[in-house]
Amino acid sequence: MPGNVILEIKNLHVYYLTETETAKAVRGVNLEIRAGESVGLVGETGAGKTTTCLSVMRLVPDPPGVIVDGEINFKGENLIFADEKRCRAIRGEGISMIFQDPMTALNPVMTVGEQLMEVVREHNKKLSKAEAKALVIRSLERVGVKGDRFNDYPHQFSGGMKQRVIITMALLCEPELLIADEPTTALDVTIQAQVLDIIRGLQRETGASMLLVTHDLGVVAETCDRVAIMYAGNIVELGTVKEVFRNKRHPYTEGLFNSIPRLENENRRLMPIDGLPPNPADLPEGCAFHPRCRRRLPICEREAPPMKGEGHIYACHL
Amino acid sequence: MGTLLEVKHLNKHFNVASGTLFAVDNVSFSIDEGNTLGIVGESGCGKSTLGRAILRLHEPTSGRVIFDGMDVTSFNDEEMRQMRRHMQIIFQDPYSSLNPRLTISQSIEEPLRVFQKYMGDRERKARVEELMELVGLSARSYNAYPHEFDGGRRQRVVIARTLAVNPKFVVCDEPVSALDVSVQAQILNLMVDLREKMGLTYIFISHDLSVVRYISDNVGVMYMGQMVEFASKKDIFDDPAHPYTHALMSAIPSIEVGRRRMILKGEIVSPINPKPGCRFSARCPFVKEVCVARDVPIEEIAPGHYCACARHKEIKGLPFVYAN
Repeated sequence: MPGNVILEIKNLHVYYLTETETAKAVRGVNLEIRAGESVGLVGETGAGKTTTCLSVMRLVPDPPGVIVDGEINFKGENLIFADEKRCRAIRGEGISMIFQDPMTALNPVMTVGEQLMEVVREHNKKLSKAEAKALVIRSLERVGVKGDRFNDYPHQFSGGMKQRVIITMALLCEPELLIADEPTTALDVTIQAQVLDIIRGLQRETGASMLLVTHDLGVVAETCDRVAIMYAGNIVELGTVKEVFRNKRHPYTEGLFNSIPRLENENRRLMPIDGLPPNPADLPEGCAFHPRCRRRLPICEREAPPMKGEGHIYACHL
Repeated sequence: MGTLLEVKHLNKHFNVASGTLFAVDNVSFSIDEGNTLGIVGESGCGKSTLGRAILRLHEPTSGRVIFDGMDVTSFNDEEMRQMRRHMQIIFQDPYSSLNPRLTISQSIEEPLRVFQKYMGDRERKARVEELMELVGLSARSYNAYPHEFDGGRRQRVVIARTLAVNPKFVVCDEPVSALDVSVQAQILNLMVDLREKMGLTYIFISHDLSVVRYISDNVGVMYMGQMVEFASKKDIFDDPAHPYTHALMSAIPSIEVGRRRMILKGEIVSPINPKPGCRFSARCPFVKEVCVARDVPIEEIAPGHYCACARHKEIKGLPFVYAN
């Protein structure tokens, strides 16, 4: 069962500064991840999901991205003040990330084996070449890639197989926290099911924690313990998957669920959220969701809502 | 209502370096006027090629497409051009299907300039405004350019352009796949409303079964160029016969917490020079000699329910597990 807090994101603010405008991508995110648990981070394009992950990895492109405020405590160490050398040590062994697009995450002119060897030898210089190769082959076979594909190039792999290679790469150094940024979005459904199954299995086996970014609530329901719903740079609702899915408190969460056609009941007219997500460089006053909210009150236009509730928390005046 | 479109033994093969790619392999079906046929399948199964071959955007290798009683596969270029007024298509990516140098009103009026040459300027402007209102675009954006719009509103422009010539039939090739869920729902509702209002007939191509269930009357499931199952929406979802349909439905993550599902082994094999026998046999847990011995034709297993599985009777109701 979930143990100690391993990652604590406190009041994180990340802005992208350009000459003409400031895009406030992340505005005060608070999130804790405990050892062994998996947390889903859900939101639409531009909600700040990927920026949050990149901040934890200290990979926000700078310029234009700047972490303007907040703390990222990984096992008690504030990563914001870590230097590049320390960051490199943490990446891979402490925290590791799987990126969305398996087609672009691998180097096309290196064999898959070489790329994986590079990871092992960078982090564990004591291993001999033969030992490293054995470790890579063992890890590949664990995710269902045959060892004889060691000398193949990425273009010889299908999308699902490439994603398995990337998962192997992320887990080679046995990180304590795995960040998976839309790991299955580019894959077909039957392949997505296989890949999610592998991720879940490995996570259980190694006891790693996971932060899974997705826009697919179905993936969250099947993979995560807790879920955070993000809108316009803020977490608007957070709780266990059961609580949030059965007892939605924030109008945005409700809107997201009503927008999804369900396999279970047909012919129900969809109830989409009116309007569009706001421009992060020009956010509305008060609650960022109020222009699209059907239940808004006068106060929503003036004041940002406080976080309410215990355990299952949500940011809404209602 | 009568049959609007009939597709008979349609084939589209591509010659590639390593042989022949069977993108669409002997597909037959028909659609009644006012109905929506959903086509589902994974990438590379030939669903987009099928949509394009019906409109002859890809010239079919063989087979017939009968639209409104006319064999459009026998038409010459000019006849086909006139026919396109009745048969339109909406593409997946609204970012690449609009000309970035035209204002959205210029994009919407282009089909009118092609097909209704004698329409006056004022009349045409009125028609464009009417279309923009129809799809929920404000008149203020008349002179806007596509880059000022997000994906959802661009897809509205594409829909307005498609409907400008009052088509009877529209192929919708993954029209909502590039959109976020909240916007996707807006566009789906719009498409349903327009179908009722204008009496449209859709072929709705998607990899998303829940979207297809929402919008379709009949559903066809494709695998490696072949139609493996075709039935009413109710039959496909409540009583699927083909193991691949089962697998596809089971693979979709559901927002119902705690649902169990089965996971298909293996990957889609190449549709280049396929081996004889059922194309799905390599991944199917129920595979027997009969499946690989010869091709399995699609046949009617119940009224209106077609399935291409040699063992569909034997495996009905069996649990979907892999023997190790």
